[in-house]
Amino acid sequence: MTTFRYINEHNTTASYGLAADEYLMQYHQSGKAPYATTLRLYNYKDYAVLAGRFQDLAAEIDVEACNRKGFEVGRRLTGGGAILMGSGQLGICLATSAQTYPWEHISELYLLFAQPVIDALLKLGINASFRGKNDLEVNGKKIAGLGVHVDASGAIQFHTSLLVELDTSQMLEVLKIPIQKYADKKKIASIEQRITTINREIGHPVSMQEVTQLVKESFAEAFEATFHHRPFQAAEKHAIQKLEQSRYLTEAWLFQNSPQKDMTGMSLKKTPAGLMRTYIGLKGEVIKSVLITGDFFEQAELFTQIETELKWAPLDKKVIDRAVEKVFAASPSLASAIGLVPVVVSEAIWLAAQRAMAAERYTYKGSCYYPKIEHNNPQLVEN
Amino acid sequence: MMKIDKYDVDTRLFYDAREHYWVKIEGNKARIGMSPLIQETSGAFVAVQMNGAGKTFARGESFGSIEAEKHVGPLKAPLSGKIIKINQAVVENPRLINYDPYNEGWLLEMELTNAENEVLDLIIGEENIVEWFKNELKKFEDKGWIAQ
Repeated sequence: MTTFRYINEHNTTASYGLAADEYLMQYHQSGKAPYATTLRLYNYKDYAVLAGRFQDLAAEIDVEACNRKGFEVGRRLTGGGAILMGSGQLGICLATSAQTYPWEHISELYLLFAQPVIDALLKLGINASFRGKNDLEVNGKKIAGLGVHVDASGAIQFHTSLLVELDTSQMLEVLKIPIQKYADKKKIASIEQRITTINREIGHPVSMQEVTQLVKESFAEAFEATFHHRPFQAAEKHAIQKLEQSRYLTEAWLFQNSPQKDMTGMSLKKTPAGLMRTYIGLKGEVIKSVLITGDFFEQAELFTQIETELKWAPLDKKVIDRAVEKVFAASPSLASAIGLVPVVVSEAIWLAAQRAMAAERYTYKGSCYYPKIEHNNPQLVEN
Repeated sequence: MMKIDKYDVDTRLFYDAREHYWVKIEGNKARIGMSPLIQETSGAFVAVQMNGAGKTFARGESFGSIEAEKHVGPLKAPLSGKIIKINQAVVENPRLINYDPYNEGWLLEMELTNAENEVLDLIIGEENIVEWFKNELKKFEDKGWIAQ
């Protein structure tokens, strides 16, 4: 039996919430903290809009809209995309060290620390599983985002944002996701086909307190741990404030430039199944996100699988072809119902990427393998 | 260059087994990059941040950080020394590490300060490198760490 330090906080500001997570990493840096592991369960006050570690904040977040609405913006230590956090989203921060949990490959940490989150969801009757390495999904819809940050001393921070509920329209107003840039009446429906919440899955509202308790219990069971509830002490709060002032509230941290250009693009394609809109977000030559919508909502699962395959994948025509073919091959019934062949979908994605790069006058430097798209396809519709 | 499974491995270099770096040493200088295995198992590199040239690092100290998918982790110096050059092309386009780990995808160059001692901990020699790489590959495959 081991003893975890346990911290539970509510309504934190963006800078405090992020600085507290970093403080806990420092606390575990030596591997000699009084507690080998700390579990911090918390939520931000409505709302904190948080960019990933190396993102270009202005490209990801509509800062003006945030200012207008009184939402705070911040930059995390962990990677990944921008997120909206507030009273309906549970932040799970587990801080520890490689001395306590030795690891060789980062995927071990994801598997180890996400399992209690999956267990907690199961207690609510929700069957969640990994989507890629970094998300948890329920029936193809994302319910939690995961992130890991390790430092040279061996300190580990595992972070989860668990969606108990989510105001999709608020999210679309402040996050610059590719679909937001284009007029699409169905965009809220498109997002809700890809993201779910605990409340939606179980069909009635559950309190944040109840979810917090279930997550805590699941960590206790998974690690055979007892908890010592020890909130931040005065000296620790002072250290957190210093981190807020020296990092999280500074423009240098918030608005640091990323050398990789953020780009978004869209392609339209007439298909036998209807009009297909493909949106793409790029960070340099890495795919941040793909979103395929159209008149074929009953087949959305096929497209969400493709979107998942391509998230954080290298921008490479061959990689796109392979991902689309793999999903089509794995779901033959969905694929045949839609009446599309893989090449139509992969060409639409590649075209959206080309348009994203063209709009920014970006010259593709990547793979020497990138065949030209056949633009004489009569089904192609120009933007 | 030797083909091991589908990987081209340069067996003329030194390798840091823990961090999976390759190290090319010429006199008291070294060029450092990532092994073709680690760059594949990490997925696409999204961002690389390296501290400025002229700074000195002890072996194991972090000279920067890297984001691959949603994992952010440190880049640890495989040998002690002063950074004399950073590959800006990789900072601007981290995918070069995935595409061309030995050439365009190199990370940085260092002026070494304790090479004669520290180099003993690196793997050298074709036979040793092949054996190490094959073992690592098997381990990575067995544990499902190879990106599909």
